[in-house]
Amino acid sequence: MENVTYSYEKGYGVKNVNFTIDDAEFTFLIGPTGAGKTTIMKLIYMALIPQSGVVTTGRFRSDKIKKRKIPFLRRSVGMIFQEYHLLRDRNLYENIALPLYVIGTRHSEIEDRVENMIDQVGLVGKEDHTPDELSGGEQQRACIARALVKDPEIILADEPTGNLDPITSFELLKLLEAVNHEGTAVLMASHNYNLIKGRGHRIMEIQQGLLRKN
Amino acid sequence: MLDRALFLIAEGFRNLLRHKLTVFAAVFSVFLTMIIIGSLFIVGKNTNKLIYYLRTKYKIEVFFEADLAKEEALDVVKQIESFPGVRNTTFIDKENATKIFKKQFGENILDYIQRNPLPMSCVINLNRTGDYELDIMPIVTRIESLSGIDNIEHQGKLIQRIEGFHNRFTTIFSVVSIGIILITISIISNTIKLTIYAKKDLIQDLHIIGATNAFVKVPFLIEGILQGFIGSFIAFLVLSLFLQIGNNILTQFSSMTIRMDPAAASWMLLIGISISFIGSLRALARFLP
Ligand SMILES: Nc1ncnc2c1ncn2[C@@H]1O[C@H](COP(=O)(O)OP(=O)(O)O)[C@@H](O)[C@H]1O
Ligand SMILES: [Mg+2]
Repeated sequence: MENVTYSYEKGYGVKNVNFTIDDAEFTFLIGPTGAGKTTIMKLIYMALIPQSGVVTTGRFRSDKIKKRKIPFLRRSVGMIFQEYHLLRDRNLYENIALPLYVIGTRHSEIEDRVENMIDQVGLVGKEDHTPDELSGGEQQRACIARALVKDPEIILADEPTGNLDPITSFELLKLLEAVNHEGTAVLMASHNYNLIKGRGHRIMEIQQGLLRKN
Repeated sequence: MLDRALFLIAEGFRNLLRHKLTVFAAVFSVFLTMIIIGSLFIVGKNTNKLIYYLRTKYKIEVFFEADLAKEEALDVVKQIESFPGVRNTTFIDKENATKIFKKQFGENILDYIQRNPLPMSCVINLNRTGDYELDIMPIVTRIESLSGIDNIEHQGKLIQRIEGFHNRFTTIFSVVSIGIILITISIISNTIKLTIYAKKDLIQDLHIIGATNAFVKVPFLIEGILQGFIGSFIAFLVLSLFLQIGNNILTQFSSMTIRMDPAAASWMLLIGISISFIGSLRALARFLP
């Protein structure tokens, strides 16, 4: 991200932000609510295009990308949100399989990969559950599986523990660390400093749209 | 690639179960539309048959004055034969007229009356294709202007009335059908808009995991095609059933049957599917430009 500025019509957004996330790096983005964490995430997956500066995600540049290419950028980015965003009208298995159908993976391969992911996030036996039939922690694990199943280069986790109790939050963080250990970069936004301190990861701090510490 | 296509088609089918209420509304709209259009179509098709039959039966009968010589009558017939629109003529002299009378009534008229009272006559067959409306009045006027003719009989007035009715029916049929089709398209498009609106979050989530617009749209379009197919197929079954019942009653009175040919059935399906497909396309254009 080079000199990136994005301001909303009614708010400040982010100003003059510079940073780079390396392959397989684990980075925390911390700051109070309204600091601009979600805005940075959106800039990375190009739901927002900066007014000045350039965001580069993998091989896509925000100043060059065509609108219809954005779906292809998102195939190399796994997204996890505070509010889960699982599709309520289908079960756990179908939710996790969906990104693979989007990419165009062969049917025979999909089953193996999905079962693998479900195993990796510890949800074996819950394949038939719809999101409403899973606990908050389980839903967030499902989201991790869905983000990870397509083998992304980076996972963006926007306050993934926002709706979870401390113990579940900590388990989730450990799961993300395990994912990172396998070689996927992770950018995790949080306003909960206690959760992330002392884990030995890089910490970026944002306040009122400005990157303070990097 | 192929697996993805199959998945999207399967999603279209699954959507039918997921959106039961809007699917029901859309299928029912198509059903009603196709019942109305199908009925009009059947009525139109069968009046067409009737008209066609009547047109090929058009003929004019000319009766000559009683004191006209046979040669003079034959002269007039020759003239009539040269009129445009006349295909051929059959001259019936007095002897033949009595034979026809005998055939029809089983008795020889000369047994009762000494002098043959039957006039010479001539049946005029017209050029007939059945495909076009036939205007016989100009021919009738020309024949009237010839001398030696006592009386002309033809079904001109009746034919005109039937043709007029047929024309009016065809116009009304087209206007009503187009009107109904447009109304249904807008009803379906609004129903599907509701579905899509209810699924706004889902669509956003699909975009977030990297789905293209096409990936989001295709299942909705397939759903639309299926709705159209189901609605018009049920309409077809119901109409066929009614026709069957109608024909059973009809055969007790006459040999005429009304039928629904395979072409009509395919048209019904095609129109039904198109209505629903266009409705879906319109709805999607609003949300996914
Ligand atoms: N859609 C929006 N329209 C206007 N202002 C917005 C919008 N989204 C966020 N903002 C503003 O931008 C700032 C940063 O928001 P955000 O990135 O969501 O913060 P965070 O995720 O750190 O809580 C806030 O002041 C917020 O009010
Ligand atoms: Mg936020």
